[in-house]
Amino acid sequence: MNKAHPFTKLYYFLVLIVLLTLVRPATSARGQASTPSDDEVNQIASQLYCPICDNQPLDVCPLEACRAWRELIREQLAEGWTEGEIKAYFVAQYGERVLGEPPPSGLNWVLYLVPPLVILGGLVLLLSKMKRPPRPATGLEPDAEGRYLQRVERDLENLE
Amino acid sequence: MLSIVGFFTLALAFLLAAYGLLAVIFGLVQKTPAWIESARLALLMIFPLVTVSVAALLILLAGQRFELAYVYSVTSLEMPLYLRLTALWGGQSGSLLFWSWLMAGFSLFFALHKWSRDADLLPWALLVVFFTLGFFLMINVFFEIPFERFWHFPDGSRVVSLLQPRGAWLLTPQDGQGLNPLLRHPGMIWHPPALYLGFTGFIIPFALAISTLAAGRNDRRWLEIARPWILIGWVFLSLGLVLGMRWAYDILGWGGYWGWDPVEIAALLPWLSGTALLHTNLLQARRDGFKRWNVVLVLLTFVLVIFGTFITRSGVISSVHAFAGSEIGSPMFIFTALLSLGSLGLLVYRWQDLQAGYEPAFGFNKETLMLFTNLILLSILVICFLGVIYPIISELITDTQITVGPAWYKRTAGPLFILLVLLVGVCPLAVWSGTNLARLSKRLRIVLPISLLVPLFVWLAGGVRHGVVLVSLWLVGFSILVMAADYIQQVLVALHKNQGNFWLALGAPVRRNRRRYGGVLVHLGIILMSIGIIGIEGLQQETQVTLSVGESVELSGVTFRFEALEHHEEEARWITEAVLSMSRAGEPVGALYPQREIYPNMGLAVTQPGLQGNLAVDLYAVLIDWRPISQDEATFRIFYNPLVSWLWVGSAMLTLGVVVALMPESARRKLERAAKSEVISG
Repeated sequence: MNKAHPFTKLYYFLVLIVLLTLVRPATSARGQASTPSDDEVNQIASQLYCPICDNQPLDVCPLEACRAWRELIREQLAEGWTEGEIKAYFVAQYGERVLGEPPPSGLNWVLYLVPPLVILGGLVLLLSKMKRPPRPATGLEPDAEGRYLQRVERDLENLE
Repeated sequence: MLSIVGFFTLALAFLLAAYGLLAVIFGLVQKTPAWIESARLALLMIFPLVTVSVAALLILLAGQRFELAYVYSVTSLEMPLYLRLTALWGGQSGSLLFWSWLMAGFSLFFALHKWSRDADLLPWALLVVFFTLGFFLMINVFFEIPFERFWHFPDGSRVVSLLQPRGAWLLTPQDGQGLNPLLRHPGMIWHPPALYLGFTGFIIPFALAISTLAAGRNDRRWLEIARPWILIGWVFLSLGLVLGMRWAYDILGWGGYWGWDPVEIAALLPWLSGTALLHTNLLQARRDGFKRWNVVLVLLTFVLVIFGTFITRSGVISSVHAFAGSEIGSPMFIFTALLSLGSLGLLVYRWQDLQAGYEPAFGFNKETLMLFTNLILLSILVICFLGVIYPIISELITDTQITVGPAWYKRTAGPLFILLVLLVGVCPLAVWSGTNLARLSKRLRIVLPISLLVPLFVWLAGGVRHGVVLVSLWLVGFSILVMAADYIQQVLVALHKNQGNFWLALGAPVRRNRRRYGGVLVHLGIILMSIGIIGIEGLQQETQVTLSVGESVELSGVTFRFEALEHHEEEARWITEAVLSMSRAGEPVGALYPQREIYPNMGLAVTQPGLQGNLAVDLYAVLIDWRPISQDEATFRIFYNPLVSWLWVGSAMLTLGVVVALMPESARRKLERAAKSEVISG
């Protein structure tokens, strides 16, 4: 598993600090009274992925940088940002990889169209390969072979 | 010296595999049985040689010979002996050697099996085995060599090399780096061997299927030989997955056991196709049908094993760029491509010969239900494969890195898992062929109303209002009742025959038909496991709070009180442990001890959740943070995980089921089965 280069981490961290400084003045302008709880922060962080680790949700990532990102979410929530705005901010900053579920656009449609098509296609294929159920008896006696087969099936059932 | 012995035997094993491959090809071209026999004897030698190599590495690991780069990277002085030995599979090169050893062990089957009835299969099976085993040995001999040592030159520069470079001295570090603390958990110690046994075990069915195709046969003999090996491979794969889940639950500290990580999914893929195979294998055994389908599933399962190994070891999951930098990435890619295309080519070439001439009839019968089970399993497989492969495709085509996380998998594959539970439940109600609606309605009249009591009870007593959870638990209750009703009926029949000996009658159904009741136990295991999954997916509660000593928080009726924070040092690690006492309605119900371990030598911190559980609920706490100076305030993430223990109970039941199914049958039963299959195919 490849780890991000230390300088890359440092770079992201520095970018984050700069951003935090830039965002702060706006905070007081929009300002809200209560501090959002850890649960409120995690509710959004759990839907985001650490931008510098592999497949690590932001709410459980132990990195210092992720801790700072969680604090950023807390501040954004305190300022009254919506969940959508916060996610959009992270996407704008770090790319689509921070989203746990890729947005249905462009090539990503493959992810949303293939599963139902596979299930439907499989169902059609399966049904086309199977014999239709025999029609209910029309009053005629089953022929000798049919009676024999029925008996064999009954015997098999009993054997079990 | 020992490292040279280890490498020499490994290299010899590789040369024998290469010789075996050439000898088989020569034997097939020249039609000379002597060459095939020579290749068989070569295969017989590979396992002992790789065993010597593994033994040499184990001795070096146990002896703390840090001059070996591998020993240095995975062990350290403070590690106990059992951990030093299990570090054999703690790193890339050692785990590959372990993999090759297990595969060489399974391959012995081909050298020792009596082939008198199937002499035409042997050469092709040997070809597959030498090709596959030879490849992994080649990786160990040329790329990931576990016996390389540290050397240093007078100018202070250092190299890692197998043999002594000119003018260099052996460098022996005082201590090693030690095994990653995350891997020191029993779940992670036994997870790789179980998984590898499952993976490598599938070489037997795979080689048998390929040899049947190549020899131009279309009978079911290969499946008869392969059946126990499919079951063995499958149960180890299942155990490997469950042990991995337990490890994630106990160590990773996010309150769950399955994160839909590509590495996890890579192991799930062959399990899904292997499970589908277990069902259609039964259909071929009974009806001599589904010949193509069984071959497809066997080939698919092994190709997915190799695919999973490729994506997890080559770095391609992290990023396309990591793959490019990996030394074994390209050879593994070529091998995976050759194996997949070769299998596909052979399958296409022989497709017409595999005509079964049997068409299952659509209806409420076992055939239809098994085919629908297959459809669902394979749909889940395609979804999971897409989820793993799509980020790579996206990066290649649009140069955009994306993440496919749990939310997508749950949305797309979640409903299919619920359908699987339904199918497991209704399967015992169906008959073989035709549709017996009278039998169905007779059973449903009793089982259906009783099963509805389950969601009603959960609604009233548990206060659960989650619709999907209620429906899922109803399906679980329904499935268990159907199985129970079926068993009770069999016991009553046996009771009648045994003139009232209850204890004899109780075990009679299993004694009479071990295969069938082995299968029932496996299904029961899956149903019990699904209770755990429903619990954590639908009913999990969590909160994150910062508490001062003496403060408490309530979650789902349990009060967690922060009692103390303690620090101590133990075997090269600093441990910070919090004490959380718990009470329910004022009554104490125990305490949790979440820890944070810091390994200063390795610069790593590991979270050890505090956990206390029973069959009803797990109480689980993670120590997130604390104030280093005052130490009277700490942050916790607390989880209330209902029913999760059923996951582990179910996996034990599943293993028991496979053991029962594999137990030898009585001579009478064998005769009955043979007569039955003659009637059907005749």
